[in-house]
Amino acid sequence: MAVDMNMPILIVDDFRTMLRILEGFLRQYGFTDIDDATDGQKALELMKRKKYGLVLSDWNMEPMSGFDLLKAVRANPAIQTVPFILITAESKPDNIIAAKQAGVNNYIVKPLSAVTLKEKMSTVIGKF
Amino acid sequence: MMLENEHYESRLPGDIYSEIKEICNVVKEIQQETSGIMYNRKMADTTAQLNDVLQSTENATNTILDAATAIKKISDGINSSQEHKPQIENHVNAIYEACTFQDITGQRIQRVLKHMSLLEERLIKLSKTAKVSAENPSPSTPDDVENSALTNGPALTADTPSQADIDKLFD
Repeated sequence: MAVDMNMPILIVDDFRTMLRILEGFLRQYGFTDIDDATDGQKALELMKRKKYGLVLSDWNMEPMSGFDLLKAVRANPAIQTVPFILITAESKPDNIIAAKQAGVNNYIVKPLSAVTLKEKMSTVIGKF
Repeated sequence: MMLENEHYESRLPGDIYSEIKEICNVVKEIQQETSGIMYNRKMADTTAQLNDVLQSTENATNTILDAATAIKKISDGINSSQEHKPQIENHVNAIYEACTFQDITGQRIQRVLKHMSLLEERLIKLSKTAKVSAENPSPSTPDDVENSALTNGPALTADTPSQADIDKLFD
């Protein structure tokens, strides 16, 4: 099934330059509906109001981290199936194991490339 | 941070007492170097400098991204050959990817700031608990004092004078 390029995507990072970079890549791929948030709490509020097709989130944010956001999403029946990719500088095996156990769909380590982002997104939402 | 001025006969083991005394001596040296300014001010300056780095790199990164986005828009708009468009896109992507440095360095700086804050708290607590008095450090030479006063590093961005301001002083 072809990927709907109009699907809403939520990007979450406390560094605004990262949000710009991610949005730049997504628009280049052809996605048009992109929202952003600067921490997990704000992202969760957005997710309660709008149905997203994919969440791309950093890990280290305050007051709510991307890891805590992931756990909150998976614990909420209304949004628990939303595809979720962590994009983070955290690269220890413990982080990756914890994220997998919490239900992350894929895991990208920073610094990221446009090619890697597209590849990992494709494994989660389909080829585009 | 206030160091106790009274001498106190420590009941700590000798080697630990010596180490704490040494740390307090270093702290007092810092106070002396900054002409009696509280240690907190020195830490505050360091924190401000690092925060300035964070802000400056963010500003510069945004400028680079603006330029890359503009190049992409122009490329999309002009009637360039099929060969050139992917090349331009690749170069623009390379700029975007390189700009992720700001996120990584920003996170590192935030961690340093956090550790410094913890260190400062611990030093204050330690000096109060041990009630160790610092000795006056060896007096600096006049050259040392002058060099120290002239070597401040870059001013914070908000305080940096323009070239025009410098020219006015110079002329």
